[in-house]
Amino acid sequence: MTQLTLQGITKSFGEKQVLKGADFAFEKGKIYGLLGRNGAGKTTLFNCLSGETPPDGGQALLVDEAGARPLQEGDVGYVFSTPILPEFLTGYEFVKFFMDINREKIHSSMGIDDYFDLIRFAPEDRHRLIKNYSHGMKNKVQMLCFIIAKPPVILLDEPLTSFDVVVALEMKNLLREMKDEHIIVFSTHILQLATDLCDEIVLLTGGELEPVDASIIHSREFEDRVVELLKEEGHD
Amino acid sequence: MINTLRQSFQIGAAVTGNTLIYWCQRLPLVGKLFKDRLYAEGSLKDGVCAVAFLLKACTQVLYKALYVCLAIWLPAAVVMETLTPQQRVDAFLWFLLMMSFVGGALIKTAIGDTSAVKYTCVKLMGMPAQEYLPVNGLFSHLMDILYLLPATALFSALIGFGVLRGLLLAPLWVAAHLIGERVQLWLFDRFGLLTQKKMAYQWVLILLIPLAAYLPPFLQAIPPVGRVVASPLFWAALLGLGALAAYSLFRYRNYPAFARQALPLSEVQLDAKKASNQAQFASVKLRDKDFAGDALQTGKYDRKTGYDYLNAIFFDRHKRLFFLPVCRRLAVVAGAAILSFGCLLFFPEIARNLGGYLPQSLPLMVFLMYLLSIGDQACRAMFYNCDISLLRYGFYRQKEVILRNFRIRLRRLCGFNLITAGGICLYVLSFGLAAGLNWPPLDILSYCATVLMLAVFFSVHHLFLYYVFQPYTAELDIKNPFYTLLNMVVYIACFVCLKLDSQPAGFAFIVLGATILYTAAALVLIYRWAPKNFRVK
Repeated sequence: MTQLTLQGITKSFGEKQVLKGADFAFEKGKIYGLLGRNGAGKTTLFNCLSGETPPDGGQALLVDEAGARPLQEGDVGYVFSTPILPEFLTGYEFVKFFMDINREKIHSSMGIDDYFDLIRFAPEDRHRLIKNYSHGMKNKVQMLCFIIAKPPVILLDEPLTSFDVVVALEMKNLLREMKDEHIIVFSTHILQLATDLCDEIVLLTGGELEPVDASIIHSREFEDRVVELLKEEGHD
Repeated sequence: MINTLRQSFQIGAAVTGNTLIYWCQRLPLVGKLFKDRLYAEGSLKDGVCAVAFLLKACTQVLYKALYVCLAIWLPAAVVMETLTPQQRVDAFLWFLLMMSFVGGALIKTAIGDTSAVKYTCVKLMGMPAQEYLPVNGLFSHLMDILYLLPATALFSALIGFGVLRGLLLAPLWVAAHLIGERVQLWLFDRFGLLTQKKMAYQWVLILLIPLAAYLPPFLQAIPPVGRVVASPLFWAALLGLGALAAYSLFRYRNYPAFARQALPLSEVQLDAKKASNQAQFASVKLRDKDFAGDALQTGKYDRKTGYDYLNAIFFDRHKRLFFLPVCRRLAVVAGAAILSFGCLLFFPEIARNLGGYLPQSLPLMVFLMYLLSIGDQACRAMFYNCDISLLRYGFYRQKEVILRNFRIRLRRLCGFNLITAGGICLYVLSFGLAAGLNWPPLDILSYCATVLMLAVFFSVHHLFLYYVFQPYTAELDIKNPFYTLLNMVVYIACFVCLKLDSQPAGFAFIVLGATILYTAAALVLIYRWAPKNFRVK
């Protein structure tokens, strides 16, 4: 079973220590909901894992049957809360470019249009500039990158909060279809979204990661318990 | 009224104080001394604001003095040397009447201009426009009297109109501006015209007023306004009308509607830093009309793959930012060529004399090529339209990818700059030959080689700075002092070259040496540092 193991990840900005030694093991085949209050450090943790900003201490390992190795930038697919794509390309061109540079990672015979069909992306939109795409369309294109390159770890930074209900449902279904082959961690501060989609909930509180008992996710006391735990942080 | 002024001062003080603290925190070395808790220090902010107010007053005094000096006094006193003293006074006053009492009064508006503080007070804090606009407008005009006094007194004395009468010009000036404000409000009521926003209105006045001011004296027909402006009757009339206008500004009832149109959010940048950062990149923004005629699904890049594909599309879609500037530069060179050859045809002596300077013009070329290089703008376009987004992806930050993109871009940039350099060489060469210059072939060769090398040098220079120091942040800030410093060093070096007196062969040798050394150093540094530093800060 492939795992993403975090060992004592720390990160500070100036005097403020955001991550104080985050430890956790995320398993393949599950969708993890990373819950935390605004400013708790969810994006910072993702940035550390994706190589965007190096952590001050600790390490992230990818553990599988062959053993453990440090997590590398190429292992991580990252959907940003605000989708960031080169706006001078069309969606089609971006996907072609992405497929070109990931040629050796792609084992499917699907073509560019097949991939677009998969995420229900209208044919007339594929050849429009990304600059004129809506938020949801940009996020879909980002998601397509993982479907194509299949990185072992997928991080989603509050991705569903700005979608309309139709796109949100499409994306949720897409994530559920993908989860068997990936370790998916999905940050949000919306509790209902987490309980709806995730198999496991992890709280980021006080700069550390803390699992919530999976058996109570769908129970009545779950919300009270999470709020209680997040309040304990003495949020500043 | 006093209350409105006091409240708007308090808000203005808070905004000014906060802005100053914010910028102080970003100063190198000492920035850390300015802690966040300073934002809570109300009395400190009042002090800071008082200092800022004094500074603003000083700059206003200087600014007004500069304006009176350049636009009014200088043309009358220096440019028209042949005038009699009385004519000079007449010219001075005529310029003042036309440029400031009429032109300035109709173009400028203190009531209708858009500012962040005004927007904050009226739209965000809900202060009634009916009170806020006239009170602040009038206050701003009254302050202008103080700012103007030194300038009008000094330059009136210098021109021979007398200090005392000069002092009186300041309130007269402001009276004229108050009448102008009322006229502009009337235009808004009558025609829905927002004078400060209507570019046609502004441009017609900006073209007509200087014409009306400067043309008559130029044609030796100076209106004898000295006696009029010096007469107490004129003072009384203008001051009376000004007071009437001020009264009417307070009685005007349509300020809420005026504020709705004059203060749209789209034109107010409450975040000054963001506005200034955005402005730096405004010229390299991708525009929809850049693709208006392009079909996006042409298949013309199909034969390329990966990064070659990406860069081919990038440079193609940004033609406006790369190819158009080169065309403009070539057009200037072509214009110079037409002028030179025309001169050679009609005034051969002058043309030959000018041509004689060509062989010694290499030092000038260094500065010229620095100015003509499109490197700086190209790097900003690369960052804003491509790298700022792709650098968020791990694959784009890999060492071999960064270096590969660097090579592709360097080739392209050199290509663009070499086209300009080639055009210049062609012009210099053809003109030199046509003018029958005694120019040894070796010198010609070294001249052209130097110009071409300079094009390569500046391409390397800008791209090297961009890749090694990648100074821009996601918020478009420049956050690397070394970038600014090195850029300045090269600029100064180019400027110093203007003062050099050198033989073409020797100079070419120096430029060749500098280019090779700089390029080699740049490449080594890029291979070592770019993979680590080429990130969005």
